[in-house]
Amino acid sequence: MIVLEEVDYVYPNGFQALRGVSLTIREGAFLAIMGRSGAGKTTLIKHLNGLLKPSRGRVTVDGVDTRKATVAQLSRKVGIVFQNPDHQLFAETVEEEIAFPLKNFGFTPSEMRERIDWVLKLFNLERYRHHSPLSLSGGEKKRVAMASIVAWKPKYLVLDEPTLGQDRENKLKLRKLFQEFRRENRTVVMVTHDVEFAAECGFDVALLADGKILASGSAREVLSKPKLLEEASLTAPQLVELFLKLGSPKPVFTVEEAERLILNLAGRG
Amino acid sequence: MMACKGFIFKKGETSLHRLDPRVKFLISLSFVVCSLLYEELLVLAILALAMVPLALKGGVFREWLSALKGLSFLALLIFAINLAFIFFGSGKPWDFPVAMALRFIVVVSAFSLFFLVTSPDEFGLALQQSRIPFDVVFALTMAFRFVPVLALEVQSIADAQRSKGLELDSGNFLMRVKRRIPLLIPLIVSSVKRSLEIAEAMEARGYGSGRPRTSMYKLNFKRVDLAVTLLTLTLLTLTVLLRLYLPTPAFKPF
Ligand SMILES: Nc1ncnc2c1ncn2[C@@H]1O[C@H](COP(=O)(O)OP(=O)(O)O)[C@@H](O)[C@H]1O
Ligand SMILES: [Mg+2]
Repeated sequence: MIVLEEVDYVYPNGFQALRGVSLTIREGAFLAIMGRSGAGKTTLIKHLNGLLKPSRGRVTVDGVDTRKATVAQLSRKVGIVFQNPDHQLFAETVEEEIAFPLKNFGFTPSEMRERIDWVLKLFNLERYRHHSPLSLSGGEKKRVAMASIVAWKPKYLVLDEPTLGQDRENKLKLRKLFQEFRRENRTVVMVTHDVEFAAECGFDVALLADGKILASGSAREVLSKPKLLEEASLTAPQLVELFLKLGSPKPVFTVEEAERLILNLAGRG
Repeated sequence: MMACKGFIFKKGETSLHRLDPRVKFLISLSFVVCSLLYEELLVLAILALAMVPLALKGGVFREWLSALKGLSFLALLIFAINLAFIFFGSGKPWDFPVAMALRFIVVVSAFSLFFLVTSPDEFGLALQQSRIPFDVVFALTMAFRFVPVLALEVQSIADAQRSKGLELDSGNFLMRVKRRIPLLIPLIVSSVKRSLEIAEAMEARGYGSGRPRTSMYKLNFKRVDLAVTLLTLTLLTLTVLLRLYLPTPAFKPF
């Protein structure tokens, strides 16, 4: 369990990016942190592996205060995939790139090979095994960056804007991956603007605005409150919005739900 | 990292900020010239100390100190090398290594002071109006302007690699250098990538169209600027003359 208690964070230049953030991330949780750009989402997730230490308040990872452990120790449990793959990739080959953290964490050569085989397959990167990561396309680079973190199977996987600039197909793959993680009861925290994607993948939602948590709860609860979303500069999924406009008494989330409702109405009418 | 902060323009309204950039450059250059003329500990110490009131005046004392702190490692290195030379019989006096380290500090902090109180735009204008070809000026100001961007980028790269278990702050010197490779390569790659993108975007907006360029602002040389220039030149001339005509009080142990 990761617990943030009343966390404030002030950057060295005096800008306060987090204000009294309290949040509990339980094992097996799927949590989407949403909010406009500049809301403090990246700042928040950098607290989860101790890259940033709270200016006030406390962050604990499985009971360990992040002030009392190194980033490397915490990262073994909390794997963060940052937004920009260009800021991470450096190795000669994709294989080496994925091996880098595994070496840092002291995996044996046989474990390493096994993990690399596994993630290359998982992320559909097998044919690039011996290519330079720098020669890949944007979407592929993003997958390599993600693979290099998933490879050590961190207990908590944290992703900063994983869907940004990804096409439908890649998003679908990501969704599949999440389903697999869910089966393994792993914990995923995802920063995103993409309300539809968060709802589809069944994430809970924490809304962040100006460094404060505005609301948190199931996607169904949070994303069906247009007022709240407006405050966080997000728009509700189109389907939700449409059915609210049509005066549906309860929010409609999936195409299947909508279909059922419409067929019902049509049948009755 | 910390040293970067000592070379990035800090907004301010002090009299130092308001000086013409060319005058500020002259002041910094004078410090450098003077420090190169003398090898004596006393003179170099005076030069270093003379920068303190300037840094205070410009409201950039803390930043200036962080430039010094960040580069103290190099100063120590210079000290060590000179000490080694003495050891192997360079015949220099025993305070020479300290003086050389101090000279380095004076040169570095003169530049730090200049960049701290001169905005990139001012710097560009100054260069441009001194009839240096525009392409050269442009390359220089771009390099200068992107220092803060690069500093942020290094931070973000370090964050990403540390999150993959990279330890930056432990191990011996060689190990520390080796561990910076995962920082260096992404930095170079993304800088090159960005510069290519910027070049394309600039050409797409008419850069190098061949027409004479116009500019929006002009620098104006105020009376204060003239006064400060004269004062600086006088002091500089005096220092040079002193060096030429006075025997230097060399430190003689016997
Ligand atoms: N290194 C930094 N120094 C000062 N301010 C920063 C720094 N990084 C981010 N900020 C500021 O903190 C706020 C939150 O940033 P961030 O957490 O990156 O937002 P988000 O990820 O939600 O877009 C922004 O206003 C940003 O300008
Ligand atoms: Mg962000």
